[in-house]
Amino acid sequence: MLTIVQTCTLIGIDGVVIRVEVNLSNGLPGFSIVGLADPSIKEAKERVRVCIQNSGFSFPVKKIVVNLAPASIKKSGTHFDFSIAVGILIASEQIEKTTPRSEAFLAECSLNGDIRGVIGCLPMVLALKSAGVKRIFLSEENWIECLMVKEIELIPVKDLTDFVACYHNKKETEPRSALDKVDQIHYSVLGDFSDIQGQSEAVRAMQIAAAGRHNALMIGGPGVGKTMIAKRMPTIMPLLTEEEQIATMKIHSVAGMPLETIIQGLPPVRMPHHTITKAALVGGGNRVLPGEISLAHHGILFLDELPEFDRHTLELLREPIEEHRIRIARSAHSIEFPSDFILIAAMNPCPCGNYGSKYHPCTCSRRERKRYLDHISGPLRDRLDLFIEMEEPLYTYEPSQKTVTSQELRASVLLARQHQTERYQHEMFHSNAELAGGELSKYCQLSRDSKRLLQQANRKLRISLRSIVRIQRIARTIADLDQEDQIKEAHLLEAIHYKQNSSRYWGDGE
Amino acid sequence: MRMNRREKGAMYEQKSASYLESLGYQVCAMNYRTRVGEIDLIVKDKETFVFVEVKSLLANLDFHPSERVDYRKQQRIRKVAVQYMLEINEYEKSPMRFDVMAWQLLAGKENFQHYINAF
Amino acid sequence: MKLFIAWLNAKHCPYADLRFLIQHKDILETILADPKHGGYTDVLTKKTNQAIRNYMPDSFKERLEKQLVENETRILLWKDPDYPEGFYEVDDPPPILYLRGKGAFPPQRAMAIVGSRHVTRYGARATERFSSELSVEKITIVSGFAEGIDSIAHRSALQVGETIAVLGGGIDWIYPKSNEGLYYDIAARGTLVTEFPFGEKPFGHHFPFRNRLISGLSEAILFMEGTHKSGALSTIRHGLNQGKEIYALPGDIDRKNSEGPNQLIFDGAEPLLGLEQILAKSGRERTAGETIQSNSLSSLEKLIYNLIAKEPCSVQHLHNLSNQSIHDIVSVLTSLELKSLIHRQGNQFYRTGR
Repeated sequence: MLTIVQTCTLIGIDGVVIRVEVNLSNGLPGFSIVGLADPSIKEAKERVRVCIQNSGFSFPVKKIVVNLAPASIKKSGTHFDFSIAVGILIASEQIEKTTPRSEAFLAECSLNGDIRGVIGCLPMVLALKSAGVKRIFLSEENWIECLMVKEIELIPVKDLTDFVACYHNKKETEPRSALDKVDQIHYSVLGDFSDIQGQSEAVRAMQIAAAGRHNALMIGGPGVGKTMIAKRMPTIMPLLTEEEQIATMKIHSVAGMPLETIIQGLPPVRMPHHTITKAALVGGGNRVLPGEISLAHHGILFLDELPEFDRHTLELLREPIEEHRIRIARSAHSIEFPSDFILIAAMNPCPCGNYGSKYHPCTCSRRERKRYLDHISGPLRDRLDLFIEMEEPLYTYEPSQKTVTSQELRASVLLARQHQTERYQHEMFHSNAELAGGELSKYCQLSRDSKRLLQQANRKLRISLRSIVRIQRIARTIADLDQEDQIKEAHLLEAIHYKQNSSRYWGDGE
Repeated sequence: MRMNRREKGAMYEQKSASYLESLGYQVCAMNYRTRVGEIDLIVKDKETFVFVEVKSLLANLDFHPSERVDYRKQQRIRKVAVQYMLEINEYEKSPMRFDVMAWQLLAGKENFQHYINAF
Repeated sequence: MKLFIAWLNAKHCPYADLRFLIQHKDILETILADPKHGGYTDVLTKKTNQAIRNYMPDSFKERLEKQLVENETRILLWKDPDYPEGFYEVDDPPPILYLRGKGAFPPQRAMAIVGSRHVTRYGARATERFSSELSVEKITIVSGFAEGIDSIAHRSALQVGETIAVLGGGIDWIYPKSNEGLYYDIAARGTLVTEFPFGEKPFGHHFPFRNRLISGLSEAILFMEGTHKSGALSTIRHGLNQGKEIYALPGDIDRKNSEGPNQLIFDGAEPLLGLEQILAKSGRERTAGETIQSNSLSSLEKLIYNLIAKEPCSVQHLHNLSNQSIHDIVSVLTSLELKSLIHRQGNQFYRTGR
């Protein structure tokens, strides 16, 4: 007796529809699974057997062969359990067969009959949807993360008995609106920019970074508030569009990360520690998983203590910063993960952290400083647009009145983004950070005076030509924040300031 | 009444057969033997051929059959079962099942346990 | 009269003759009444006599007026009220000056910054610094419009104040060509001056000659860089003859470009150490902490500059003190930095030259 049910598997962050063919035949009783299944699936045999038995069904004493088709794709994951169990129940005629072509099953079975959540559910649901599947049975925990997906019936089930009831339409599924509470945005959990005392310059730079999707580097001693600022970045960024949300959630789902904040539309912030391995940063592993740079897709990648990162690890960032994706090659195939993030990096000005401080003497030698700074290669520096030097704030009795709230900052960021979207509607890109070459001269037209200013900056402040390109981009964003179509001299002057910080540390294209 | 192990085994096999017959099973063969090994009892439960391993003289009946019938023994019984099915030309036509009958003599009283679909 | 002197100047008549004619207006008028007469061979040189005989007032007038208009040039004669005092002291004072530009001439106070055409980064930085610092003190920077130190001095001065370029050729010759932009910038906000007539090529021998005017205009001469045979040394010689204060920028002893200034220090010139020193020598306190009024600064620039002049400030500090938005402060800081009025060390902005 042959039954075919559908499920899905993951290649990278994309789902591929898998047909689970279950055959029961007379002959020596046994249970085998074929079709390039890895150990996590082989183990399904025992879970499925016990789960069926403990749910009040009988496990057929037959020769059971399960084939996962197409058999040429390597498969892994525990979400095959459910479909295998359903296949066996149908094949042994314990439940009725309905319309297998338009149904799919994604969950893990537990020994007591419960249906459990699996990682990577969202991308699989999306893949099944595009393959024409109409009904998907899944666990309740996965159901919440997949609510974003419209035009498909998602049926949450608690356990196998519950499933059979739902399957035969004997039980009403809860209406979707039951989970509307997630629509509330809880900015408060992220903090607010008004918490930050006395770092107005950095706050301003972060606003520019958020508005034009520029990469930024904060240089400052310990305790000046670098991490605090980075953590609050999502509060000044526009909420994710539905498309972005799904793209980001797919990655987080595959990596088994919590999705709450993304469901609310907040851009993700990733803060990997500097001891991170290459595979964890860019993605990889035996079963290729997305790394931190992909988890930061449409959000913020915050690298604290930038020079402490392994140099070669940092160099890996170059490709994703340019291409907004990372390709992980394996001998058999290569997997591509999107990774379009804003890089916010932070570092101390020197190994001891006191260089440039008014209050504490720096104990580093020139050589030590140079070695420290040299950890960040020129090509990587080149991909950073904004450099902010942060000063140690002094304690004051009364908190400064001059803090700005995230809401104020976000308002102009939103307008600036809108400007960009309109301006670049016919282009392949959508933010100022991506301006280069011909587009740069097209969208960053400068007046005669402005050009003279750049010339002066080039000569007097020794700002390289390459940096001038970057300055124009930042100036474009500053102008957008000011709601100006034309880049003014003041915009350029401000932009020069943020770029100049870099040349004081590293020199610039001499 | 003293019996040797073999006689005791044969006795419990006989008792098992009678018990199964009482359940409506039809006895096909006893002590079916090939070069590979032996099956104590082969009965037929409607369509299904049931291959029974009889274990006697146990101190305790509260065990899982696979504990008493080890993997090698299981494999041997399976092989013999396939040979039997081929011989009667029923292989892959009728369902098969493996049971264990366990017997215990406790304070002069015989207890038994029937493990259906034991392995 | 200007026309006639210009004619004689265009014909390269000796300056002494021209000055004589300007001095003796009666003689000049007699000649003008009948140029062909030619009876002053005893007082004027042969060359001058010939030029007088060839005088073609009408066609020359037309041509000169056209050139004056085209080049926005005005003429200043020896003994005119605007003729710089200092020029009376120089060797063979020029009887006629061609001026272009909107700057004040003669300058109230002026100092010369001279040096070689080839510059090192050190020389360039020091030149920028002194040029703008002196400009802040409302001292006009005089230099020779050559490449290198001269251009840097002019440019930095223009950021803050005024500058005077003494050219080595006719005012209609932009030499070197690479300074064309600077030429017009100076014309707009400073002064270009030359003793050479229109169309006069900037011959090599003109430069040492005109150098006496650079020193003549200035109360002090700052020698930034140059080898021991630098052309700028001729300015220094003129300056010494005219009794001007000489400063030389000390440099590394193995730096070829510092040979000149170091030798000069050895010979008794003042080592150039800082603005205070110059101001003290010239009998003036620096305007420390005092507000600057240069018209080239916007009100916000002045505000920020004055805050920094009081004490070194960080961006945050300025933000707290000034109540201005952070982006305004940041752009003003860059602008002031471009004008070399302030510089940055670590987080702090300092008034340049402090």
